[in-house]
Amino acid sequence: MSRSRQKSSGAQPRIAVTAGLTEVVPAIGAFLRVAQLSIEQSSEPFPALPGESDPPVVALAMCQADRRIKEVMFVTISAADPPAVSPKVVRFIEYSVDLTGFTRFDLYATGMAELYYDTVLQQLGLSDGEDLIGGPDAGARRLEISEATRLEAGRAITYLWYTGAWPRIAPAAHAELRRQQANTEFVVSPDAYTEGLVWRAFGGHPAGAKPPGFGTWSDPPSGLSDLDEITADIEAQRRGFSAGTAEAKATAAATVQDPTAPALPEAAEKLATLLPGPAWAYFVTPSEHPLAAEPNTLEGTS
Amino acid sequence: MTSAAAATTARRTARRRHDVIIIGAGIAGSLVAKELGRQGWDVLVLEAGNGGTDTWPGYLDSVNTFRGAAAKVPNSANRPNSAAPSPDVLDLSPVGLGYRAGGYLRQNGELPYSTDYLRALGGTGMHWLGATPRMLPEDFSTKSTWGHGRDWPICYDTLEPYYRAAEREIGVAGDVDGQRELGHPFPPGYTFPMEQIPPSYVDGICRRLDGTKVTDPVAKKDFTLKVAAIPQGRNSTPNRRYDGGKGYRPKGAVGLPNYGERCVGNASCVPICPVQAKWSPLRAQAEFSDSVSVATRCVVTRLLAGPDDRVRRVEYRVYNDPATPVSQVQSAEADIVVLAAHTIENAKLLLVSELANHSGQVGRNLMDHPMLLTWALAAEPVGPFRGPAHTSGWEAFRSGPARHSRAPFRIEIGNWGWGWATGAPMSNVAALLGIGGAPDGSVRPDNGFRGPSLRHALGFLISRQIQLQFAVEQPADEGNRVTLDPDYRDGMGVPRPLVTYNLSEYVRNGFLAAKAVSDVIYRKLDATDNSIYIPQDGVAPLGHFVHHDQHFVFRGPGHGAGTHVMGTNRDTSVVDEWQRCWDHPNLYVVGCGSMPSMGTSNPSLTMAALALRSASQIHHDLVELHRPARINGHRMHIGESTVPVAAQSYAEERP
Repeated sequence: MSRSRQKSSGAQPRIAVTAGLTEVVPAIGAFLRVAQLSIEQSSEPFPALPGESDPPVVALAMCQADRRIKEVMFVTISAADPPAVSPKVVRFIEYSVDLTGFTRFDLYATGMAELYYDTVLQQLGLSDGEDLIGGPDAGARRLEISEATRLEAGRAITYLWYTGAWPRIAPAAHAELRRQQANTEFVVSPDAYTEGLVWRAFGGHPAGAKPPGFGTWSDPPSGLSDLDEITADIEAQRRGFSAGTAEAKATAAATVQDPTAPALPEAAEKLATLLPGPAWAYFVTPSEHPLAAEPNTLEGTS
Repeated sequence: MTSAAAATTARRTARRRHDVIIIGAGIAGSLVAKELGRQGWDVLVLEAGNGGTDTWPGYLDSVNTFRGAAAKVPNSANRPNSAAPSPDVLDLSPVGLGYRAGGYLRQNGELPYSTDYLRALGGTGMHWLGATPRMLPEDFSTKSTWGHGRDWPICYDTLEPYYRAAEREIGVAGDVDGQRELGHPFPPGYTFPMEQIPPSYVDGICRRLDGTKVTDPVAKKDFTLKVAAIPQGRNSTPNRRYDGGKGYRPKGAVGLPNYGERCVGNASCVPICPVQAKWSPLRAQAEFSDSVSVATRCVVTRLLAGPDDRVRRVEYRVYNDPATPVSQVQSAEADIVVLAAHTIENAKLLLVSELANHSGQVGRNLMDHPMLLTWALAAEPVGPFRGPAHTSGWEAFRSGPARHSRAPFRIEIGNWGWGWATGAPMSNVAALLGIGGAPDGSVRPDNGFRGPSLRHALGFLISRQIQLQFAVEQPADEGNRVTLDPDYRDGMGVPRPLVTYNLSEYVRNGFLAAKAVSDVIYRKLDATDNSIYIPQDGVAPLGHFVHHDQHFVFRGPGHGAGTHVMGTNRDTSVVDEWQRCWDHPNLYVVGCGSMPSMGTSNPSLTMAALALRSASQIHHDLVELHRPARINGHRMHIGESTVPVAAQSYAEERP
């Protein structure tokens, strides 16, 4: 189903009929069943995405007993075409791109979007049609909370994407949200842990999953994108360009950096105060770790 | 073995007589069982905890349990078991400048005993790191050589063939020449079964300091830094030259034939290796002969001795549901009983049964390797969180006359960033976001790191993390001990262990020297030291102490030892050199608890060697017991033994 959402530029049909299709007939069958099911059950109007004018298209494949596709028919479905990804999740992803610094593609690729969206709804106690940002054209009401709690909620969502766990949040925010749950950290699912973005942020792999292979730990670590590259990637994809294309590069060149964003390593001094310190207990959940105090100096012994 | 099968086995084996009953299916118990089973003896292994990991789906369930755990502590791959509870590092919490111990293990010492263990099939061997250094020859005589701790009744040379047997059993990967340089004697031509695990990128950065002189301010001695690789119990490339050119065939995963491979770098050896490249007792269990039965969910509550001081019966309780410890009492009998339930559990069972304590040493001499962690940001990316937890270390501080004045220590070069010290990398995300609020509970103000700048800063901060782990020797000290707390009982009604623990002046001197060495290393590496141990807001971190006006925090690596110490004399030790109780000729107590000292070596390999040595003696005892009649008045001398088959090939090859 999500296949019909993958393309983001406007002119071509949203379902690409890929090469090799004739050899995966069972997959086509499954796809068609899903599409039909969705059409029958959906009552939501299909939302137009920015820059898209063509209605979506579904491919029907006719096959015969030898399991080879003889005919492929494109069916245009108008108006009532169901969205592959709920518009609420789409909005959640766009918001999460701002929070995490990872592109929409990166976030979808975790496979966690819907699970995280549901988790956020539950943990923040959002009712239907309510979200953190709201807005007149978004079709969502803005949750009525203090700005401090809104900030903390955004941090929690960021933490969720980076670690796969919902964190312990500031007690003040916990109180204002009148949460029914205990204010403790929990991992949303075992797979969420392995999809945490923090590992990618430093070019690693999750501990206990996606191992890179025998002896790879002897190699130098992979290089990391600098701030400009990260920002340009996000901006290019937001405008509908694939990474690496001429359009994306042009976008990157024209992207105006956020002048307030701290640059590294100039911000190293500030960062030194934003490091985790040792926990009071031997092991606590990561979101309960205190901040480091002033780092020890190196004077004295020799 | 499935859980249902385990329960069946338990019922089937009840009230039967066996040649040997082994209590505990961890490293020591599994090796003794395998060896005796191979000799054809009828062996019953009673395991208090759950099984299940010996099937591939069961093992994957443990991997998922670890991934889904909020705090990824060593025991996090295992679900809680109220019938056979395990102590957990999460049980401890700081209170002011002291601590509180909740959970299974009771504590009343000045400092918390900071180490966990696991009661489950495979025991704590399910989450051992897999480091397999031998002990140094001088570690066997710390009392007579350096005036600290206790001497072993045997020396390195006596144990050497069994070290080789244990290395074969575990399939150790390492470089013999490198180990020889450190002072471990090997027979000529010996190789480990597998080639050395490749060192990490961090090791390479640290190797830049090779040749640097460091002054130990406590011992007032100079040392020269040289990075050395550590032998490991995880699959690497088999060594063709092993065993006189016969080579070595690696063993794969248990429960999934033809799976299991070289270490692929999951970087989660503790709590769990997802591919079983790391050796675990499950591998030994997979090779049990038909004469060995394993019964899980059988909690031994008491050993009963007859008037002749021989242990007659083992009483245990069988449960089916780990959530509700409803149990049935069973008992079984055997010619020889082997207690292999872990240092603290062994002492607990001896104390509960009021056995083996003529010397008054049962439960005493509890040891660990108190660890000093230091952590720093390097000037360049070091590629942390890759590979096994550590692949190399600095070894110079483990030996020599400096041991007169301060405890020796082994420096592990951590490959997993600040993970142990600060909960990185997850805690880096929390800290940079400022999630969780200020100490007063209010939401922290915006610090500007969001989106791309957040991602970029995290990459910067995490990719530079270096952590050093200083494993300090703790000599045997009668004051550090396990007793029983009759006021607190576990789900089976057995009194829970009460631990009294502290670090001596000598150990604390080791910390003083270790931190000074750490300071020099970080300065030479141009790294910024971020280690911090100071109490804040009136709360001291767990394991905090002050020594010579310097603050320290120690951690426990799970190396419990010493509670049924071996010796040369029944008045001063619990077991003899074969780990056989002085007081009970058919009761063996095996495991790290028998070790009079651990030096600075991770103790599992030595424990395995000792277990194999005991297995050969148990075999002799059994042969003796089953001999129909004396022949010409000659009986085999009780102390006589031979080398186990695994080690015999060397003995034969090299006169």
